[in-house]
Order: sequence, then C-alpha cells, then structure tokens
Amino acid sequence: MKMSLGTIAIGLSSLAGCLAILVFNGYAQQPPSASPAEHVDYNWQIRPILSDNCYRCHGPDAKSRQAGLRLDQQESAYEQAIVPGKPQESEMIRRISSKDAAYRMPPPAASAKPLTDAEVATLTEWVKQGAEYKPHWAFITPIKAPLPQTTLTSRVVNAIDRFIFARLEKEGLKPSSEADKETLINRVTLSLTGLPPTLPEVDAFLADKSPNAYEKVVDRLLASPAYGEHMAAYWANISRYSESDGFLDDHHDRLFWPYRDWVISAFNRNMPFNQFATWQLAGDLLPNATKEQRLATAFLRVGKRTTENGAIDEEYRVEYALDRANVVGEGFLALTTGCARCHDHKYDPIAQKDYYSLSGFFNSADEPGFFAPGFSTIQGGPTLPWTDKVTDEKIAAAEAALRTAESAYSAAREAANGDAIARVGALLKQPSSEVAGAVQKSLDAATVAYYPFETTAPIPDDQLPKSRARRGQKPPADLVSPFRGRDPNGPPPDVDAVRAAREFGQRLPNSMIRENLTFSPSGLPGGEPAVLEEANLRPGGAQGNALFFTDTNRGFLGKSVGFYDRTQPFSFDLWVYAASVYENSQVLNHRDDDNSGGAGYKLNLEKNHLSFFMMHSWPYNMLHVVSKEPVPTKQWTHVSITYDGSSRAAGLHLYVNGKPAEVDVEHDHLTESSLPRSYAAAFNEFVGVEFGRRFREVTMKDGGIDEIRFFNRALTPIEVSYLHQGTRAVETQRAKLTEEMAELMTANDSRVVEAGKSLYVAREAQNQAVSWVPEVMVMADAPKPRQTYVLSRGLYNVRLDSVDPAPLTQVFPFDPKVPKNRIGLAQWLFDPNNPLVSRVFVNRMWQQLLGKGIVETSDDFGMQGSRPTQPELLDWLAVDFIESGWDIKRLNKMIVMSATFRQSSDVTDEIVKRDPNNVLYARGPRMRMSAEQVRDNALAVSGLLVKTIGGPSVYPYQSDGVWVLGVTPYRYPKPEELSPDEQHRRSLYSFVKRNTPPPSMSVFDFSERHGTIARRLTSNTPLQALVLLDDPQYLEAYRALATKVLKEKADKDDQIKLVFRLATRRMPNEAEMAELRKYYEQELARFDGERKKAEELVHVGVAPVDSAVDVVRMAALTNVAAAVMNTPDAYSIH
Amino acid sequence: MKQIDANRLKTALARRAFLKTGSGLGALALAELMGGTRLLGQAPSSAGGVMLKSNGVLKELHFAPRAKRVIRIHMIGAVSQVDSFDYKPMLEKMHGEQLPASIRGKGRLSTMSAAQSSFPIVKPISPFSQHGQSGAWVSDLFPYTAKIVDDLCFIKTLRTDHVNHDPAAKFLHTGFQLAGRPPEGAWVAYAIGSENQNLPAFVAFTSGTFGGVSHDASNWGSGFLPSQYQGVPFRAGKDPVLYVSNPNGMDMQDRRGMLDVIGKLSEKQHEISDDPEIPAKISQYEMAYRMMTSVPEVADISKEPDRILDMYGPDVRKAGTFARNCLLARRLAERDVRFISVMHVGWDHHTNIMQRHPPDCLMVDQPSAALVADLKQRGLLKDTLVMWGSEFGRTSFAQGPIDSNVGRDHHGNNFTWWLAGGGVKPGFSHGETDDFSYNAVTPSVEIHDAHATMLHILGIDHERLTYRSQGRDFRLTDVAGRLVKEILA
Repeated sequence: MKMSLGTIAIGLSSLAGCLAILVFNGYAQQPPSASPAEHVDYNWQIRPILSDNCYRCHGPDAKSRQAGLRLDQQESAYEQAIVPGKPQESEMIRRISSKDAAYRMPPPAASAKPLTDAEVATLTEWVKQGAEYKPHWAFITPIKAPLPQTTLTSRVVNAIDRFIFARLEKEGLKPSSEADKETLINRVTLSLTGLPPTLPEVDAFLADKSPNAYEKVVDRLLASPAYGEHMAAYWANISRYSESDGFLDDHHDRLFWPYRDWVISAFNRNMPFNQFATWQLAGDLLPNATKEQRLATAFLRVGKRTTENGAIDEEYRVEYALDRANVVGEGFLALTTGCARCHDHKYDPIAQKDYYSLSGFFNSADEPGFFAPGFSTIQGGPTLPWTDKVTDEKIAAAEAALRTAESAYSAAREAANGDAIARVGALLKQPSSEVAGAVQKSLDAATVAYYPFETTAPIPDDQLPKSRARRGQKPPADLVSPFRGRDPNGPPPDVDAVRAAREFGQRLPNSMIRENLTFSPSGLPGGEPAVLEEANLRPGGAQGNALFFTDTNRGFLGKSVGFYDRTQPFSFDLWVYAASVYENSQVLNHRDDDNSGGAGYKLNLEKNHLSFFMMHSWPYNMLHVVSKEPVPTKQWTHVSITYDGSSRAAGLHLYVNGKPAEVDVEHDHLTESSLPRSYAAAFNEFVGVEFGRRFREVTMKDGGIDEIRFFNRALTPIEVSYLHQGTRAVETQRAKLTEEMAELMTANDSRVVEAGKSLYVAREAQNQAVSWVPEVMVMADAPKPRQTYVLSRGLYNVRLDSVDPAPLTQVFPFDPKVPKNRIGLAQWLFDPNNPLVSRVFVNRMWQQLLGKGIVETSDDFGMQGSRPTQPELLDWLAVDFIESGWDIKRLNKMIVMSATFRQSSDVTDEIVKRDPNNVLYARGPRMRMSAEQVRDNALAVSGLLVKTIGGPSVYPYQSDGVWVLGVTPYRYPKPEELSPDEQHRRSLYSFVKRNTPPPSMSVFDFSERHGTIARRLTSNTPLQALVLLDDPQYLEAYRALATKVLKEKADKDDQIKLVFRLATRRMPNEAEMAELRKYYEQELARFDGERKKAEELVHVGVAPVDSAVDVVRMAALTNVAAAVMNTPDAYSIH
Repeated sequence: MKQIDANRLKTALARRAFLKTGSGLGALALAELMGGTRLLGQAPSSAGGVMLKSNGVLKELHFAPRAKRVIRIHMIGAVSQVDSFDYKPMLEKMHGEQLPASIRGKGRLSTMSAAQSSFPIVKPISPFSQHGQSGAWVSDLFPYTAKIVDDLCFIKTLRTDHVNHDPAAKFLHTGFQLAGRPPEGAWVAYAIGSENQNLPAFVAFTSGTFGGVSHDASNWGSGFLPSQYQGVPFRAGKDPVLYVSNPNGMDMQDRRGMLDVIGKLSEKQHEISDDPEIPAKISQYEMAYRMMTSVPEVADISKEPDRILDMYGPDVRKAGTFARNCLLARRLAERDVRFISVMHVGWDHHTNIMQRHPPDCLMVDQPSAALVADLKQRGLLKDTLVMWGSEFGRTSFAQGPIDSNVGRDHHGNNFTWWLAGGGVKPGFSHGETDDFSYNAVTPSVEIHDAHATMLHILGIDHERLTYRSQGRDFRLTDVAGRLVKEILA
C-alpha cells in the first residue's frame, strides 16, 4: 500500500510541482510533534523515537545491551538516565542534546540516523512533563471506550462511524457522501466475495427502493458460498497454503485440498474464530477428536518440508517446529517472533528463550525432518486417511471380517492348545533326541532361506542383478500428480507390476561394480544365492566363515527372501558380531530407500541396543522396539526376531541368545502396508534384504554377521532356543519345556495352520483396503514428548538451556492451570484478556475491506510496527468481536454496513491535500484488486468462471517451460490436456508451486507461500500490463465476453454498453462511448479486410469458439472488451 | 455524469498535457518501474557524490563506482574446485589414502557422507597446467578459461555454513538460507534502478541439465521487496519475456491503437475519480509497450556475425543453452541492464565425477570465457563486474569408495569463484587453501563479504542499503559483511 500511495506523489509532483502534497505525504505516519503545551504521550510519541534509535543497545536484547541500561523499562531508565521532571539532570537528555560527538547519543559513528532537533525537543518535553512510561499499547488488554459524540448523527450507521466521524470533525473534515448504488454493490460484492456482482444483481439492487436494500445485499453475500472461498483465499496467506514441498526439490504431490475445503466450509458456516483456530492448532488433542478436527490440524503441516538428500534430519525437524512458532507469532499475534531465533528480540519483549518455549508446543510432532517425496506414495509423519463413504464402508467390512477371522483363529488355537497339553506329556516321555527331532522338523518346515556365508562363487553374466527403471529413463505418464485423477476407490496398484517394474533396466542396482560382485550360495537346495560386493568372508564366524564389514562392502539376499508385509507372520535369526559400540549402524535392512518412502523393516544396533523397526512411514506409522540391554562387543551374539502378523508391538519378540529380550516399545502404531514399494524410487532401488554399506546408513565397521535364516511363521520360544543352542534347548529347560513344547505343537496343529491362513487372507484384505487411500498430513505428537532447547544462533545442534512449552509470557501471562500443550496454547491465545489476538484479526478484516489496516503494519503490532490511526475504534472492535463470540460474519457485516465503508471513494482536492493516504477515512476505499481477484474477475465477467467449490487443485494456463525448472519428474499439463472446467476455476483452486509461483499472479503481488504473509504490498510493474494484454487466460476471457455480448445485443452501441457494464458494472458516459464507438468501428473495418487475423485473434484458450457468431465482429468486440478490461476501473475496487 | 469542479478539471488537463509528451511518459514509467518514490524519503548523503541518473532508492552513490552493472554466473550444483581452479598436487601424491583426521576436523558433513568412516583422497580427475602472465593453474578441462586467466581474479577461499544446495544457493543469492529475502539483483535494482527505460533492471537466465538440483524462482524473486524489483526471467522460444508478444492477429500498430484507447479511457476515469493510481497505471502500459519492441530486439541474435557466435561455441546457435544465455547477457549489458543473473544447473557429481565433470566443463568453459572476452573487446568489461562460481565446492575425498563410480560430496569450507571486470584485480588470485583444499589457511571470504564487495564495486555501502520489513531494517549482508579490499583494483 505504501508503495502505490507513494507513487502518487511522484506523478503529481512532476506534473504540477505541487510540493505541498509531499509535505502531507507522511501525514499520520508520523505522530504530530509536541508543542510545549501539549501532553506528550509515551506510546504515541516517545516509544517510536526510543525504539528506532535507542533499543538496539538499550532495549530488550540482553546480549547487545550497553552499560546495563534499558530505556524500554522505567526502572532501569530512572535509575541511570532519566530524572522525571528534570531534563537538565537527566543523563539521557544531556547526551542526546550534546554537541560533543564523543559524548553524544546515539553515537554518531554507529547510527545512520542522528536524532532530529524535533525528536530531541519531544524527548526533553516528555522528561519535563514527568517521563511517564506506559506499556506498549498493543500489550494492554483492550477496553471499549465510550462511543464518541458526533454531530453527524444522521449519517451514523453503527459504532464505527461514531469513531470515524468524531475524528474527522476534530480534523475539520467531512465524510464523503454515500457512493452511488452501482458503485456500492460493486464494491461490497467484490469485497465480501472476491467476485463482481452480476448485472441482474446490480439491477435488482438499483430497483430495490426499500430502506434496507443494501443490508439485504450484504446478507445475501455473507450467505453465498463465494464468501467462504474469498475468506479461504485470505487465510491461505496466513496458513502458507501450498501443496508443494518448497526447499530444493519442491515436490508437489501432497494432498491438502481437503484442508483447504474445510477452511472454506468453516468460514461459510461462520465457525467462531476461536474454534476455527483451536481446531487448526490442537484439533487432534481435543477429547474424542473427530475426523474434521484432525483435518483442521493440517494447518500445522502445510508448511515446507525437505527431501534434499544431504539434509540432516534433526536440522529440518527443528526448522518445522520453528516455522510453526513463526506462524503462531505472525498469524495470530502479528509479532515478528522469528527475530528471536538467534537472540532476544531487539524491540519486543520476546526473549530467545520465549521463542524456543513457543516452538516447544510443536517440537514433539511425530514427523521426520527428511521426507520421502510424495510420489513414493508414502506421506511421512501423522496422516489422516482421506476416504469417502464407499471406501469407509469397504474398510469397515474388511475390518469386521478381520475380527471374525481373529476370533476363529483364537478359537482354533484354544482347541489346539488344549489337545497339545493333553498330548505333550507323551512326547516328553520320549528320549530328548526325539523331542529335539520334533523341534528340528518343525523348524525345517518353516525355513525358507539360509545363508551360511561359507563360500563365494562367480556370477554368470546372465544372472547379474538388474536395476529397475531409473528416473529419467521413462517417467510414468501419470506423474503429473498421483492425486490427479487417481480414484481412491479404484484398485490398488498392481503389486506384481510393481515387482516387474523393478526388473526393468540393464544397469546394476545402486551403481554396483561388476568386478566386485560375487554370489554366496544359499544353504538350502535350490535357494537363491546372496550377492556380495567386495565379499569379505573369513574365518572366525559363529560357524566357520562369516561376513565381516569394511567401510564399503555390502550385499543382499535373494530378492524374494524376507519380502513380507505387516500382515504376514515371519521370523529370522542370525549371529551378530559387534566390534565396538556403534552409535547407530544397520544390521539387516529390508526397506525401500528413504527417498522412496523407506517402507519395510530393519534391524539396527543403536549404541549396540537391538533396535527393530517395521514401518509404513517413519516415525509415525510403525512398530519400533529397542532392547533394554545392549549386545556385548567382540563376541558373537545370536539374535532372533519373531513376528505374528498382528501389526502390534506385542506381536513382535526379540530374542538374544535364545532368550526373550526385554524391550522398550517406542512406537506401536502400524496401520498400513509395510511392504517396500520401490516402483517409485527416485534414487536407489530396493534389492532385498541388505547389509553393509547403504545410502544414508552407517555400516557396522569391523563387525560381522553369520548364519542368517528366514522362517515363514512366528517361531515359538523353544524353536528360537533350539536355533541358539541346538539339542541342549530340550535337555536343559525341563521346567518350561512342557509349556513350550505344547506351544510348538499348537503352532503346527492343522486347525491353527488353516485358521492362520484365513486370518492372513482377512488381514491382507484389510491391508489392501486401508493402505492405498490418499492421506492428508495432519498433526499428532510423538508417544514420548521431546525436550526443547534454546538453540545458539538458531543452530539445531548447538543446544543451550532446556525449556518447557510456553507461549510469549512477557506479552501475556500463561495461566499455570492450562495444559502445557497445544490446547493450552490455544486457550492462551483466545483468553479474552489476551491483548493481541482479537485486535490483530479485526485489523486484518479491516485491511481486507478498507485496503489497509487501522494498524497499517497488520503483520507487526510490536514496537516497530505502525501505530493505530484510530486506536479507540480498533479496541472497540476487538472487544466487541470477543463479546460476540468471535463472530466473523458479524464483524464483516458491521464494517461493510458502516457509513464509513459506504462513502464515495472519489478523491477530492481537499482530501488529497489533507489526507492523501486516507487514514482518516473521509472517503471510501480504493484499491487494486488482489492477484486472485484480478483473474477471478476476468473469468466472472466473461461468463467463463466455473463455480464448482472445492476438490483437487487445478492447473490453469501456464506457458511452456515456466514450471519445469526442477528435478522433479512433473510437468505442467498443456492446456489442451485440461478440461475448460479446470482452466476456469477460481484462483484459490489454482495449484501453487512454492518455488515457481504462477508468474501471472506473482506480478500482482501474490503472496509467497514460504511462511505467513499477513500483508501484501501493492506494486506497479509493466509486467502487469503484459499479463492483462497478452496472457491467454485473459485473451480468452475477452473473447468470451465479446461473444456473450454479441449473442445478446444486435445494436453496436448496445454491445459496447453491455461490454462496458459487464466489465465495470456501470454505464459508460458519453465521452467513453465516443472513444469506444470509434475504436469498435476501426477494428471492424480492419478485421473485415483481414478475416484471417480475426480468426487468429479469437482462437485462443480452450473454450470453444462460437461459430454462430461472425468472426469479424467477434474479433473487433474482443479488442473493445480488452481495452475496457485493461482500464483501471475494471481491475480495482473503488 | 459527475460534476467536475474547475480546479480538478485544470489538474486533469495539465496531466493530460504531461502524458502526451513522450519524455514525460518515459520518465514517469521509469519512476514507476524503479519504485522511485523512496527517493523522496531519502536525504542526500554527504559522502560519495556520484549523482545517479537512474531512479533507485539512492539518489547518489556512497562511493565512486568501479562498475555499473553485474553479471552473476551461478554454477548451480557445485563445481569441484579441485577439478577446476584450486590445484593441489598433494592430492595426486596421496590418492587413495585417508584424508588426515587433523585436516578433516569436526566440520559439518552432509548426511550423504556423514555415514562414512573412511575418507579416501581422490586426485584431480584431469591434469592442471599454468597459464598466462599470472601463471594461474587451471585444469585442462577448462582450456578456454585458461586463455583469459590474466583477466580473472580468483578467490580460492569462499566459505559457506551450508552443506546442502537449497540453503546454500539461497544464501548465495539472498544472503540468507531460507526463502523470503530479496536476491542480489533485486537489492541492486531497488538501490540504483536502471539506466535503460525499455528493459527491466534485473534479468534472470536459467539453463542446464537437471540432475539432483533445480532452479528456484525465489533466486530471482523480490522477497520482501515490492514485486517491481523481481528479476524478469528471459526464456528460450517465442516469448523471451512472458507475454511480451502480441497475440496472433495483432501487430504493433494494432497494439498501439488499443493502448491509445486504454490511455484515453483511463484518463476519463481519472477525471471522474481523481484516483492518483491511474497515471501510474498508464505509464506502466507505455513501458510494457516499449518492452514489446525492446525485448524481442535484444533476444534476436540474427545480426550477430559468425565470428562472434563462434567465440561462444556451437551451443550458442540453440536457444536456451548456457552459451546463448552468455551471449544474451552481453547484449543486455550493452544496453545497461543493471543485474544479469545467469544460472546453470549441473555439477552435482556425488557419483561418476569422472564421467560427468568433463561434459559439464565442455558446456560452460567456452561460453564463460567468450563472455569475458567479448565484453572486453567492446570496452564493456571495465564497468561490468562478472562473478562466476557455485554455492559451495566439493570434497577432495570420495563420497563412498574409490572405484569407477567415484564422486565427491558437498564442501562448504572453501571453494573457488572467479571475478572479472570492473573494479577487481586482473590476473590475481586471492586466498590460500591447505594442501587438501579442505580448509582455508588465509581468512575466508564469506558470502556476505562477497556481497559487501559487489555492492562496494557498484558504489554502495552495504550497511547503508536497507529496507524495512516487519519492523526491521534488512540488508543484503544481514548483520555481517566485510569488504574484501585485497581484490579491488
């Protein structure tokens, strides 16, 4: 706003040398300087001077504070620098007025701006009057002042007008008359809905002579769905809404439109602001949180996320927590909290500690820092499955069937176990070799793979492992976005095709080196050999040779080995040799590469504790258990893992040397397929059970593994013990042997086996039903809260003090009774005494409707922000908003109903002279439309606008090459690939790619979506003219507008009038008619001679050209429409 | 129809007279484009003394300028300094051996090599030799650059905190690791505007082979500055600037006709509402009209003689290539475009550096050298600053094992740029790195230092070029920045 108003001055001053305007340009930006008789107010006159000039060294930031002096606090100032009432005795006054450069403050060398004489005089007068300090206005809880008296009572509609008119009278100004009805309906419709009124709407209003005709229009607009869309477009600036990742790769396949649609619906339902915000900040924590409440928390997840390979997980996890603190700070409090990331805030009472405490509310988000790209079909962190009714029913049916199968399985086990207990005594009477034989037989039947790592063998060329298709070879045609056109209720991706795709390609996987590859044969007849790179088999294993790890060697088992989903019971065992204590090294890994989502399972040594993961996505959707005891170093340890297919941590058992290991359950939430899905792999491919060197994993240097076996069911304890110590297992464990052998017999009972097969089928059916539905990223905290630290200079790894979650307590205290979680944060924000939240919101609604806020810096209510031009009005509105129950529609209605809003916006000489920036509101608002409105307006007046509400984002026109800047295998669809319906939706449905925002919108100051933007600048650039003149989106709209008019009107004058009226909602005057008539005739004549040119001109866009309309007239009137639509009245609100 | 009082009518008439004079229009358009309003709030400073013709925020420069314009060539992806300009014989000697732990220290590694326990040294993938009077060592993979070393000023000790492309590239362009701040070009346009009324002050080019790294529009956006300071991307194809071409069925004369109607209708609207935005809008349309001619003209290389085209190499005949962009950068420099950002993606050789580094060299070596030589032969090099380099360098040790797929990881400790032209010492090398090109042994040149020096060369004190956003006076150099006096001619 500042920019555009500033430009006035240049244009006019160059024109008429009217310097008087310049003098007034800063009106009300600057406080009036104190004449000696006047009371000097700390908030309005003194603080701005001190904040701008002194606080950097004598303010809130403890680190940069000089001489221990704070001028922002009365106590410190009185102690050292100010003697109230006595300027001559005040060190501060002596210093600022000194002629001695060495003594003077601010130090001339350090300050670009010395204090002006007027500023020195004001400060001196303030000290003389007693140097009264007051808290910063924005940190004092607002109260409703009595409504001011005004003599203009006949014009007053509501409280707003009393404040505005009283001030105008004080300034000797008069409000402008009410705008004419055409202007009024145009303004209020654009302001409340973002769209222009239709001509029938205009005509109806003109015809309605009832006294409440205007109010009826307002009520209709507030009730129209377009209102919620317009408000949602506003909220997208606060929520930094975008469906792409930002950062390096800027992948763009995240499902967030259900959240955007929720925002639209919440505004349309007039959800109270406190509820609207609370759901977004803490919906997941509300008692019995509904799907809708959880969906709202996407607000916290819609920020950026990195998929850059070298990204350090913790660094970015911290970044996301801080991003959320910034959104709360800037979005709700209009405070530049981010400034306190590296140091105490220089101006506002936000210590660095406070900032990190605020981020503490978000620091336990159960999400990673490094994300897999969305096209992996894995959404990292907490998600909300986005299902429709049909899918929900399908899932419910699958789950009911699963419960039935589970009961049947339990019953079969019970029966089998009863029989086993009856029979086990007989078996145990046999010699122990017989008992051992039974265990061995049971194990043999279950064994599916065995690798003794004794020998190697050369790999014949035709048996070399092959890479699947790599990025760049043949990107699948549907990679525009997996959510575009994907039917959530359609069949899941074909897993066999997925496997087959993996076979595609000729390269060795993971850039392996041919010469370094060998087989290590399977210990089972016909078993697939393992592949080793730089095989390092040597003696000293658990049995014979073993595989030892250097820095670089690696390998993988046969590809089909261990390929288990969460639904399938399985077990494996191996011997592990830890040469030292490993910070976090992989033992076995059966997962996709992290870039492909990382689904699968893995066994790690974390400080030598056994750490087993089975995951759909890390860290939210997975099972994770860690042994309480570490494995010893420099000796072979037998490790077994058994899993029963239940998707629960309780179904997962770790054994060390044959005995159950005690574990800590870190995560117990696995609800979707844990099968690697590497068809979408971006970098490396899934090759099977891997060990040794692996991208982003640390190898077990100098350690080793030996004797790996896989089993196709959950082994029983006696079997595990037997694997560890052989027949001794049945010789030495007499006490538990009865029970354990019964368990073994139960597991092998044919009834149990059959029921197990049915159970697997039911589990798999449920798995398929739930695993492939799209998911929205939402908020949820990790099972164990994370400690938050103050970070030195904001660096993730330089931790200072630990802090608990807390809001900005120096701004407003935190009730100790409120929970220290996001619900507590919301309660703090919406405490009726919180001085900021209501003020900030009403000010932004004022900004939205009047063009700029009562506080112009609607993004900064801190000390450095601008001061309210009508403070009592702001406070009155803020309190009233709270008293109304945070009723947003009521607030908007009050503003647009006010006589203030309804004034004519024409600029008179007196207004130009007295108040060029219209801070006193002696006239109505006048502003360029927002980026969204400019486009939506053109679509609406041309009749092209498709009014469908919600749904997946669309990809309107964009020139070739604009979007394809990145590594991601997406492309912008060509216009002809899109239906006109997609091209002509409102702009809030246009897909926004963070790193490549739509150029036609950017030039109109569309907000970047990297963080919260509460206020857009308004700039002027010739690129705006190029868009409105030549962008096909607009050319098509002009042609559609002309076509519509030609079909309605036969007379040329009528055609011009209708074009003009549709474009501006007013009638052209005679002078305008004359210009347009001349131009229309000229273009008709020209195109008549050049029909081909006419054809070319009208063939633009995707909406069909109406062949019933004469192309010459269409082309000529298209240009007339273009001319009118390019005049300022057609893209401004006035 | 409204009543317009006599006073307002007079003003309107005067305005119309003003708008009809071409020069007035141009001046107004320029003021618009450059956002000249801020001139008004700016008191002339006492130092400097060079008055500016163009309308940036600075009415006069802080220092006598050494250059009038900047060409920033950003090799996105990170060129290996040890395979280009930072010659280290020790790497030859110790190929395959471990980088000494004392050298490696505790610096940050990207997670791609952080998992390694072994850091074997990899020798330069191609031999180096000395060139020119200055005796600069250059990899044989840069034969054209080798020929112009006496015009170049190497800085061997650039440093950045960042080990990943996204934050490091943003840091290079905007002085901050997160998106949202204005890039160098926007700062320069904001400060000193342009002397050309027909072309934008800040132009951006992109090219390259997409590997692991992408272009990002925030590197030529306007950040928190108003959007008129954003870089205007020049593109291959029909529309060198988006929407600069008239639609089919409309030529320049037709366009002129429409603009006249728009102008007249706008004036009539102005008569009614007196909206002071309207004259600004009209001038914006006039500037757009001039761009419709000037942009295709500058992008049209058909009149460039073969001997010039041949200088830039064969790629120059193909639109959208780095070579073509270098040639266009020269054409824009000739027309006084203030800041030209030429960004090229490649170089991210984590693996297969032996296969991938040489073709990347081939793509950029000749055009880069030709640009400098071409500027020089036209007398433009003396007031144009060219800066060539990456967001960071690459490790002298291998990412993973040394085998035929060997590659190098990101390395921010020290990396090499070369500068040429206005204000910098030709045939000069600044800064020393250790025998492993792993640490600087002379004080590092931070990115903020490079920015401070670039602004200084343009005559701007980096501490006095500020923009207030959200209550804070921001600088390109944030709270840092030291002038690298040693390289100034």
